[in-house]
Amino acid sequence: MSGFLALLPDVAALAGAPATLAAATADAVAPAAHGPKLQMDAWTAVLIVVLVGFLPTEVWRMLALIAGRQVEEGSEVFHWVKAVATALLAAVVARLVFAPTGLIVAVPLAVRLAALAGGVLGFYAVRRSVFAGVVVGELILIAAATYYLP
Amino acid sequence: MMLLGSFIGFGALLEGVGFPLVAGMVSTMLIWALPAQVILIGGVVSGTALPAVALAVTLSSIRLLPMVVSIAPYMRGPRRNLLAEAACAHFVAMTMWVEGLRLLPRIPGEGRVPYTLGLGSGYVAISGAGTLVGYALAGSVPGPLAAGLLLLTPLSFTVLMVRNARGATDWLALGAGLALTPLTMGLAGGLDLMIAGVGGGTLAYLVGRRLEKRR
Repeated sequence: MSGFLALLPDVAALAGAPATLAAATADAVAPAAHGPKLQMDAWTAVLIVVLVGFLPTEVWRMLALIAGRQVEEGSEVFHWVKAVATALLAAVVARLVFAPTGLIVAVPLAVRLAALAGGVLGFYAVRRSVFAGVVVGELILIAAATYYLP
Repeated sequence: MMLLGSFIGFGALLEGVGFPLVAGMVSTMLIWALPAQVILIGGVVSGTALPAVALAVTLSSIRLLPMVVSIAPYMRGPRRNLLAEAACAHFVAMTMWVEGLRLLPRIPGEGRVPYTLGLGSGYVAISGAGTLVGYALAGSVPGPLAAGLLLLTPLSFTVLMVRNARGATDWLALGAGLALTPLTMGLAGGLDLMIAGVGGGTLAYLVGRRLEKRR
């Protein structure tokens, strides 16, 4: 793993990518959405999706099957892996809120966090209904967005 | 519902950057992990070299490994069948993991594989429909609603994780992932998620299991 990560800067440099991969990924979407449109043949794009998107993703699912064949429900390893998966998912969510892309950037971070908190409160207030929680959170954000967006 | 909204957002993104719809649909069917799809499209559109994009996708998808390992025990029939397990594993992404951990333990052993495959294909179908709708509607959605669509993924997953959290370990892991991310976010691609996820998760496991055993 550490050897793999050590390769990172070299690959990025070789590829002539922006200074960090984070910059290449996180910031790419928002400005591009307003720039000139991509000219790309549909089948080239499908090929890219399969080679650059599908294979790097699927490899982890299949590796996990092989690595996890001995892991039984309720074992200590199972609890650890589940905790890591939960924290990872929470981190993905947090990144979408703390460093979002697109129009939602115009809404201040405090409001985005308030919408999340409102969602959780709504969930508990209305008989543990996920739908109610999501509606409350969305209403907070959309109301704020009407104020902040032109 | 949340899936539909998230993928409407993805469809709108495809239209906005001019990425071919067919390829976008293929990405929903095959990649079936929204963060990886957004990174892929964003990278390609910005003209980043493909090996660098592949690396970014690889890093973002590492999180699927612990997800699959922790849900796999619930997706096995009484008899082991690697092909069936591989088909089930393909459907594991955020939604399948969260909902699977809630629904699958109640399903008897022999029903788990068909249940997973059915649920997974249903989710993918909804997401495909969302991608199409988003592509078709893009540009005609007013700003505040578009911002609302972007919140749908983090909001729905937060509420779903709160609903699923039992025991101290779950709550600690949830809190650690959320709290560590603002601190690690400055680090280069993917590394921040690894630290917040593996570090935060391990910490939550060590503290949480101790608390749970005391009772």
